[in-house]
Amino acid sequence: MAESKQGHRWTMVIDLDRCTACQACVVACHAENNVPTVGPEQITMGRAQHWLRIERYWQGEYPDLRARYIPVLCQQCQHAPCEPVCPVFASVHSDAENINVQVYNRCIGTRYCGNNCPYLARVFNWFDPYFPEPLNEQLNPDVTVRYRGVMEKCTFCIQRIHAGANQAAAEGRPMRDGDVVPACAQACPTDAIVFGDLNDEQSRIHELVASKRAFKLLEDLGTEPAVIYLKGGESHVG
Amino acid sequence: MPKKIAIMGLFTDVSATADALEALRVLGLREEDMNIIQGVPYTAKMLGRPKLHEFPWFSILGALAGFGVALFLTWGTLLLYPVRVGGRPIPTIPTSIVIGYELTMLGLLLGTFLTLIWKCGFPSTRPQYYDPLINHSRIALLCDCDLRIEADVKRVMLERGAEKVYEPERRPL
Amino acid sequence: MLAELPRKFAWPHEDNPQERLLLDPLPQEDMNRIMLRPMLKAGPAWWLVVALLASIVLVCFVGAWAYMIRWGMGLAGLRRPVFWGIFIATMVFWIGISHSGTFVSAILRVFNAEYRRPITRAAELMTSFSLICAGMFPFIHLGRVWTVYYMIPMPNQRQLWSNFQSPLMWDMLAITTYLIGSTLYVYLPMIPDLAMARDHTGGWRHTLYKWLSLGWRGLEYEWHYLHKAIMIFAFAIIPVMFSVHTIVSWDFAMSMHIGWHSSIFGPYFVVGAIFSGVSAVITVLLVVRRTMRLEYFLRPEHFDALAKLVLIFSFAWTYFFFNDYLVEWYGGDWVGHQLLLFQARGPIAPLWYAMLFFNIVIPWLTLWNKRIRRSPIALFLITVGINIGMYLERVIIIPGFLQRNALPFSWGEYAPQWPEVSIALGTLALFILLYVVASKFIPLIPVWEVLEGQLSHSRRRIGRTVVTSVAELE
Repeated sequence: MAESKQGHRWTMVIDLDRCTACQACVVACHAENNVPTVGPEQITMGRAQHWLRIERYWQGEYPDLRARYIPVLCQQCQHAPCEPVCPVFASVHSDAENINVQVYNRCIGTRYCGNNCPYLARVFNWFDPYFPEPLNEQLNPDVTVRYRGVMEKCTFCIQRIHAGANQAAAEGRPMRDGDVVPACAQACPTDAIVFGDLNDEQSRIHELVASKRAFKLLEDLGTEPAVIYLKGGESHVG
Repeated sequence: MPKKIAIMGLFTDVSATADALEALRVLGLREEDMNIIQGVPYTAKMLGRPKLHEFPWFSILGALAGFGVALFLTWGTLLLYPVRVGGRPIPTIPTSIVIGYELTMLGLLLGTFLTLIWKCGFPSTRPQYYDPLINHSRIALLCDCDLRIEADVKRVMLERGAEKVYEPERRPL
Repeated sequence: MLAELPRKFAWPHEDNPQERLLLDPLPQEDMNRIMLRPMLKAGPAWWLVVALLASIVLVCFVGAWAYMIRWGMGLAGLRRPVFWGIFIATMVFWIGISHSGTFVSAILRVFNAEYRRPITRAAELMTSFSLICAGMFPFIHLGRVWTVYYMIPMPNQRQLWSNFQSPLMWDMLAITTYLIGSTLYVYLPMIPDLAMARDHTGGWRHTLYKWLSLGWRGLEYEWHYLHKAIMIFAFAIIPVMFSVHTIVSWDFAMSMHIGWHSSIFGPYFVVGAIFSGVSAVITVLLVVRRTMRLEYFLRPEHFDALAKLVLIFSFAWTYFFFNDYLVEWYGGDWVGHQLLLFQARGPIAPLWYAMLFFNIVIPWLTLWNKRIRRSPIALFLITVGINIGMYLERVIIIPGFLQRNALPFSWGEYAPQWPEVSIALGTLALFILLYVVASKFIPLIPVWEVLEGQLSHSRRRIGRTVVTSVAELE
């Protein structure tokens, strides 16, 4: 359902005015979520495996050339087009967190979800992941390493959401804003990525979402994404 | 009980066969005592035989069974184990129609096939009355007649143009 | 004895009434012999062809697939955003070919088109074999094929069922229904011919046909139930045929992707399938006629009629294609226009123009002409060309359209790699292999149906001329 006042409604706001396209969020996501690097030949084939990518568009003609950036990740749509098309229920909606979850050990690799995502947010493991030494020692034990043949995508660092929930439960209190910080938000040097629970009226997210600069990517498709962008200045997409 | 004997007459022409059937009816043989074995489907009308009319009950039953399975798969499983996808209601009617249609048709087709198998007693490997000459432009008229009129039956068949009249043996096909 | 076929069966002139199969009856035993003769001997040429095809299937299909299962889907040329490529395009192609049989044997039967009589079984066999080839691809393109059983709806300890909202599940059920239905539909009318083969063979062949013919003797009630079953099948398999390719097209139409999300895909694909299928029937029948010396049964009139159908379906396909194109061209959004530019001027343009050439230009320029329709070489080239064009259409729609989307930074080029080409060729070899092997075991011509047709055809005088008259036997 679109609106769910029960449970959490995890939302991310990306301020394009602050984003410098430094790619720290991309690297942090790789590190946190055990996303493999694929090597130069695979990159040339177009198989860069990023859960979060910085899209760069050129605007204008030389010498007035400008680059415009937008970080694109899984929008965790409320009406996710990737969900109904999976024949085995590997891409389903989580009613507790209100995000789209990808179940790796259920995925049989039809890749229909990848075709149906209008944001091209999903990536596929074309080969077995390879972590060259010493990257294999840096793997995050909270996140599984995916096998070849399985789709994957941004999970809003669901392992950190659960860690935050467990921490709050251990301390005997409800979750607060700031309990959960996904890897990309943590790494961003300009604080362009803000994460929080839209159902929590005290959160930073709640205020940012009401901004006049707010827009959703490909909003007219009706996917109702949980990622909200804030329009940037003249050098940013918007 | 008067004893019965099987007599087979081979004809080369459908009119002659129809004549023979008529003559045999005059002799007192019932429709169910007479059987035509043919390699080309001359119709019941051509042979002057009553037409079989039967409603395809089994096919309809198969279709309903298929629909039932479809209903279980689309509505039953989702009501038992609901999983939310795409922000859609659980379950959805339009998608259930597609599955319902396919499985209904499958049930209809399987029911029809099984009707044929069941009604004809297939597969049958018991020795039967048969003559492979029916694949050589012959029509076989097989009749079960009373021993007392056996000679009349044979005479009538030969008069109506049978190429050969004999007492067949059950043979493995 | 019919050791040598008379010259008149080569390619006689149309004014000769004996040119019509149904006006040129032969005794039943002679027809059976013509049909049985190629089945009973297997010369060295046949063995060579089978060995060649079997080795291609083993190496190019099984070998390449096994290698890909071991090392990963990355061996194919697929990449984000082109998640489906040659494998799915070839699958759709084979499903298209499968419409050949049902069209010829079911639709023509329902419409009482007499020229269908000798060709129904040869066409319907194509349906079964092409569905087998098509049915391989849902396994081949999976990332984790060893877990494909997750798709099977059966109770399990995970308490998980399959998602019937997914068009891929509809595909699974539709293709299964169609495969079972059309195999039964080719089998039913075959039973009397299998019984005839049982009576004329000995040894292992006799045992095989004895079991396959189920104990058929030809009693009236057997014919009655068979006829009823065939009629129900003929009527029922037509909507199944329409639904199957519609459901396959819904794999694309249900998605949000630009170019794919089109309500015309259902009928567009069905018409394209029949177009491709009937052309394939002509190609296969021309080869079968020559190699199995079935010139008595397969006459120019049959190819003439089928070629006319091909022309009509070329018109129909062009109508749907143009409909789809014009709507996007006129009222589509920016992304849609990019997609049209991509087809007409992008890297895929040569394929697009080739598709239009084979599907529209060639049929429209040639198939109106009776001499061309009756010329085996011309028909062979034209129909092979049509199937090349239809294959290109699937390649353009599937990996082609995926290369463009709403986020231009994520556009991508696609080039098929060796496993895709190898496996696609392997399925072609598999199809031909299945057909070549089946032709030795399955009587390709339904002799009893031809005899039934010959019974109903006669010549009678009306005024100054003698015309062919067809009786209604029911």
